[in-house]
Amino acid sequence: MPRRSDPALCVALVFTLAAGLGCSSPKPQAVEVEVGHHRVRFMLPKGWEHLDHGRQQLFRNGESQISLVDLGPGTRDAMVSELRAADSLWRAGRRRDAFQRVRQLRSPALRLAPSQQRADFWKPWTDATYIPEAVDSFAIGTAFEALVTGTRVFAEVTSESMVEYVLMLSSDMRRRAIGHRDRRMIHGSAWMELETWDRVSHLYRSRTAFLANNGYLLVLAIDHGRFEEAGPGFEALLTSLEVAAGAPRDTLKDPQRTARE
Amino acid sequence: MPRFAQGAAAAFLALACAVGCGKRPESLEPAETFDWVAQPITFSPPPGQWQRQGDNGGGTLGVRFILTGGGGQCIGVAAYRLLAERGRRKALEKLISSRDSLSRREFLSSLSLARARTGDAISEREAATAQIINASLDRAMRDYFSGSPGFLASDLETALQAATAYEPTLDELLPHIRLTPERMQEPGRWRIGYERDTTLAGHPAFASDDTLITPERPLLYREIFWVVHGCAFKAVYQGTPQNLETFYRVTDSIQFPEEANAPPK
Repeated sequence: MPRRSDPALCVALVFTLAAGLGCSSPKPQAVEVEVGHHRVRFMLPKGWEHLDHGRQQLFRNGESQISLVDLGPGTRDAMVSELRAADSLWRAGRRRDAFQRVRQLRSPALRLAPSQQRADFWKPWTDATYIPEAVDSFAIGTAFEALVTGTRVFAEVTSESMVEYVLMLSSDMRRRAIGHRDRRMIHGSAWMELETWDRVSHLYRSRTAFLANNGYLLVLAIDHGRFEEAGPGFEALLTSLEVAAGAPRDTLKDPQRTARE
Repeated sequence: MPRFAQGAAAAFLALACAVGCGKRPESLEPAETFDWVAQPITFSPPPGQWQRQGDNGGGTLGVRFILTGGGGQCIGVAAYRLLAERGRRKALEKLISSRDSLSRREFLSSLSLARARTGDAISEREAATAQIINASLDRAMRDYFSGSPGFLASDLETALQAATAYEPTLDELLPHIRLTPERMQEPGRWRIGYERDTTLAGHPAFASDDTLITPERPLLYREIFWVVHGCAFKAVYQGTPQNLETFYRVTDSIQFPEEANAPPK
């Protein structure tokens, strides 16, 4: 026969259970942000602080910092999209924004091309816009077309050159080497994950992961901090990252840019 | 149960226990490949209590593992970077592959950087190779200025062939890299011991078993030198006899993966 329960014990149990539930750590919150051309959702790991800087999202925990960055066009097609977007800005009467966007154009094809090829690519644009205030509209339109046509001379971007480009921009690779690389499917997106270390001693490990979303590069990287501390945060962020597939954001509809204009 | 059977069983159990409870050496870390010079090297680092440090001094590039609380005991593996950089093959290959996309200034600068050192040759063979390379590069410069791209390509190929054909050997390099107490800061601390020829990962090697006199105690000082595809390496152990086995397990794990940049055998 079961023993009769003590009412005081029951009350204590209920309180303990309630307190346990109430004090349990809150579930990580899903955060949705726009990182340049990408719309992403992630779960902020416990203990990490999130700072939204638009194209650069920062995650800090003590001395450790991880960043999620839009590195811009990664393919030739995305370069063309970027130039077309700048062209649209110019046609909408935002000449300075358009010129700035062209000046900021960067991509693996451009960066890794021989210097003469780069010079040939930029020549029509620099010839036309040497004095931005004096240039006439017909010359600008022609220069835009010349830039778009010029992208065809660059070699197609390979996955190797994309890796080289991402590491070039996200860390000082003069003294580092790739320790491991891996392709991972995370929430339907194909990420390339790289672990880098000091070239000489294989100390100071770090991790970088990137993907090309509609030709635009999205990079998650450990900026600084001890690998043992930053590594788990990086893994938690990476495995929770959901990247919305879709056309790059239209800059013309960007309210911040419109306000600045 | 007969008495002798009981005794045998007890003896077997004691033996099994002795074998099972014996202190087994800690296993090495997973193998890693290091690209200090054109020829990569793979080996398993010692266990975790050997703290790792990069080593970039004395013309070498490598890694040193210092035993925690070991009073200066360490294991080192390194490549002779400065000796490897004397080879001109890589510079010439780069020059040939990028020749068409270089401006005049860039080309002349690369041509100058591809020249071989002649002032301090490590052997007669190296001096002769350097002469061939530099003479070919002189002709290349003349052909460049006279607008003869065909002759220029031929000159560069001749220089590359000479650079590829020459690989320094262990015998040539050993006098420059082996321990010579007179070249050390405190020559009195070193006692040269037993020297011998051996092999490492199938390559000819030279080993020396010396002694380092430290203020606290004398330490074993073991060095092994070897050359693979013209790249010189060394493994060093400085420590007590108890940890010597760990050093030999590290050197036993050394391998040389084939690499695209390594010259053909």
